[in-house]
Amino acid sequence: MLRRNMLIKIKPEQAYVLFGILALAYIALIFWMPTSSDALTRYDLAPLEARNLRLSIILPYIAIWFIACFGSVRLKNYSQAINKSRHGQSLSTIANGLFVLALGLPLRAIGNRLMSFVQDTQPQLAATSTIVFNYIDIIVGLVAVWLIYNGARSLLSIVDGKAKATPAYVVMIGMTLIGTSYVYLTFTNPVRQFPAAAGERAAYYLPDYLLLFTVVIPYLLIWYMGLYAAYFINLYKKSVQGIVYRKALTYFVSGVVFIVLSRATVRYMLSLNTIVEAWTLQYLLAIIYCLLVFIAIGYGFIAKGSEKLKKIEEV
Amino acid sequence: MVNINPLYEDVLAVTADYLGPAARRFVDRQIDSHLNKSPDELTKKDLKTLAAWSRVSMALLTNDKQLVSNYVSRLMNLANNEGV
Repeated sequence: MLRRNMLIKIKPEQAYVLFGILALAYIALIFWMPTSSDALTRYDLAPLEARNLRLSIILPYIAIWFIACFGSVRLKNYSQAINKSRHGQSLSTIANGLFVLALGLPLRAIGNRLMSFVQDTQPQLAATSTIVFNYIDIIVGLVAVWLIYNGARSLLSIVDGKAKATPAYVVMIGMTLIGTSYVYLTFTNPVRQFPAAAGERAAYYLPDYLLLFTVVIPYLLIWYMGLYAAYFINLYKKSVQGIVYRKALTYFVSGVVFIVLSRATVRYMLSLNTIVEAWTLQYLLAIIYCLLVFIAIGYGFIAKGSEKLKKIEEV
Repeated sequence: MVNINPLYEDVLAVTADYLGPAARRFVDRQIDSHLNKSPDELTKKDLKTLAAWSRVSMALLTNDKQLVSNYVSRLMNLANNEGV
């Protein structure tokens, strides 16, 4: 059930200013903080090379943040145009979730940078900073996906009378594959609790029982809700009346699916700590770029879909 | 206020096939903007004008000319009382 307190009230200009501030903060951190010595050693880079390399990533990365902000704000804008309807309220909740996800991009980048700095300069705080950062990431992800899931479920209930209770086999199989492999990879990761050597870092710094209940299960929940949200929205598009309306929804649905799957992939890739770090830098960068592009495409689709839907309300 | 104009409901039913949940808002807007009426005042005489404006508006939403013509034809058929 949707409640009014699920509606985050933020003006578009406030959102862009917020992202602008976060972008400037991140750029400042890049130039102010020295590059992690661990990274310099691992990839055989001089400090200036590392900084230039980071610039080549962060500028398109920041562009993607703004695309993400733009997409979620556009959807919010459309939902507010029809806010007296259940569709509007459901879409508004989804827009809030997408905005939180978008906000997670700069927060994660800044947090990651701060964490690297702390671990380099205050090694005794490495465990604490990693745990705090991971938990913040989980909380942001849970809030975002919970909003998207509830909005999607509410949207589907409008056309069906009630949300589909029977799980889709595709989603079940996908979830099973992702879940079991993620659990396996996490608990066979030799550096999940303790670093391999002095000066390096562990993935979680948590005993297995805490890792299971406070990290693994929440991430499984995030993927479960994310996949089902994408499924519900796609089912809504297939069920809703209106040829022109359904076509306008296509971009929106594609966007949500892109975002959910790419974010899940990012998280999944990050869980492969030792495997990812063993790859050469070029493959790592290629993967990062691809995933970032997918996220940007997803939000771009959301923006375009919202524009098409809003046009129906304006002609 | 509950609108019980059967012609208006028929127009909504036709439009819903194309615009789904946005149909009511679309039709209300066309009636209000181009006919200067409320939905319960809609008559068969208004349908020709309504169809003409709806053609223009619908054409802005889709490039499918056949779809737009089909929609307008169905609206005009309501004036002939040929059902939706």
